[in-house]
Amino acid sequence: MAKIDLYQVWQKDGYTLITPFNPVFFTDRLARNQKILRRRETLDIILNVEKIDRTLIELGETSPYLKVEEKEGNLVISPQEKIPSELERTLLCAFRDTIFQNEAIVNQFLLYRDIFFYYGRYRFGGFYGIIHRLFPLVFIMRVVKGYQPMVWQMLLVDPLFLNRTKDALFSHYQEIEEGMNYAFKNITLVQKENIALRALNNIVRKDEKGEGFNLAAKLCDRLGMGFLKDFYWVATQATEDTEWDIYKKPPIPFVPWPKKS
Amino acid sequence: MALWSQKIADIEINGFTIPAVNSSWHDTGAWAVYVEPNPHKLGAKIPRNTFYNLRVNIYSPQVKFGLSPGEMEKIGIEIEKTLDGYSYELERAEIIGKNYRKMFSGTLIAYIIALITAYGWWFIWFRQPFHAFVGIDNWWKNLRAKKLPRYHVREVVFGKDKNRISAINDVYRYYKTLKGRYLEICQKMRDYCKLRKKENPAFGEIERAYREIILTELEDSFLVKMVAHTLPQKVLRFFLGDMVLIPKISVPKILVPIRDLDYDLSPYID
Repeated sequence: MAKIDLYQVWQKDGYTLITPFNPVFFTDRLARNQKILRRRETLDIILNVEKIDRTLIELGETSPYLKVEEKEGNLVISPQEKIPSELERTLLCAFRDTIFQNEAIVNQFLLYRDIFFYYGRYRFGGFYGIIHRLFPLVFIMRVVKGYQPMVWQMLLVDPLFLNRTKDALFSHYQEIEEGMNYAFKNITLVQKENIALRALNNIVRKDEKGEGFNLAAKLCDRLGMGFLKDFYWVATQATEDTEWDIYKKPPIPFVPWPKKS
Repeated sequence: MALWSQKIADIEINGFTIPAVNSSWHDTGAWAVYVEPNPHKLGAKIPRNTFYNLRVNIYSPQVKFGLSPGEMEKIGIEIEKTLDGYSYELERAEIIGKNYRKMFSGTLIAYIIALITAYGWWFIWFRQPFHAFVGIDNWWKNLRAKKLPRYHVREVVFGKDKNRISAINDVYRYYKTLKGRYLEICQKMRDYCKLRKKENPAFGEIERAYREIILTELEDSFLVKMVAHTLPQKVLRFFLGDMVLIPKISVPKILVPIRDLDYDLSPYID
């Protein structure tokens, strides 16, 4: 099953949802979307919570827009029938803006990058363009019989396979994009209890000496939730004092400053 | 996914939650779940033209706060990411590599003739036939890796084998007595498992896990491997640059960072 894990993290003022992702490599998301289309899978969103309770179900009951059903221990969220079409469109747009956008843009970027690397390499304007511009030289030197196979290679075989590479790349990334569209239309929400998350949320809730985020940032990687460091650390800088001090101090000079006589 | 008439192979593999202190930025101090076969070896276990069910048995030491359902789920997600990512990367590299090989295999004959007859431009002649073998190792790995996405069910459960449970508990007991730096601890644990593997073969599996973890700590990072930063590498890349454009896909290890089970959570759990 294709799964995304979401974590319900306490941030002093309320909950926020955080999903871990690799900022450098995009492979896992591409592979996920491709797999979803090929296998026609639903996207399971694993919501990690401190304790499973009926909060979400009640939220669904009171909400005029969403319908929450319990099926085999999982929560299935779908839009209510009564939802006005305009509002639905607005919600869908918001959803696309947050989750789709990043994946769609990077997908497009990777496509262009690959086209540049592999298709443009032997073309006229490409990396080996200079050599190709000397192509007429081959005809001038036709007295040398050894060049003749290469001439036909360059005229017929190279363009054929380069075009095939280009087509394969286009269809590859198109498949991923379709998978992304398919994924976000078939979502199942599953709640799971996570004890490490509970501990971290309690630390922030307790907020010892007003430094809850600091302690959580130091502990979260040891509790196997290291991706939260990027969240807690920033929160620390904004709301707590300890680590903020370093920016108030003057920087240490690279060479000793000359004393005034 | 599977048709009713199709056979489904059942494959069971084992993973150990072992005391090993990770050192990367996001996982400092975390333990690791190590799953024995890497994706390449797992691909060899799957029979051809069949679907398969994968069951990962996780063995972890008995502690006050064991692995919660969310953490088990995370282990599953990370294992899936490793397997899917590996087969995806190989397939993508093959899209291009396959066409490059076809494109240049026809030239071999041309250049054999040209090498004898042509006087100038030897620089171009000698490097292009190499393109016939671009990404040939990826092709070889992909023979196994393309079986990985043909799964029916993949699940992560707690293992029930008594030998393995007792082994992992003994390992944890020994770990509690150790002090020192993380790599030294890993080496001591490895030696301990090596001593005891005759009486219980499960220790042998945990020993291999420690070996892999120590190797992971010692080896260069992915980027250091990829970027040409020494003179010989730069020279090689100048001449065979577009062979390197089809990247060499390395076989990943299945190592999932997980909570330090030795750390006492009771002050933070009400």
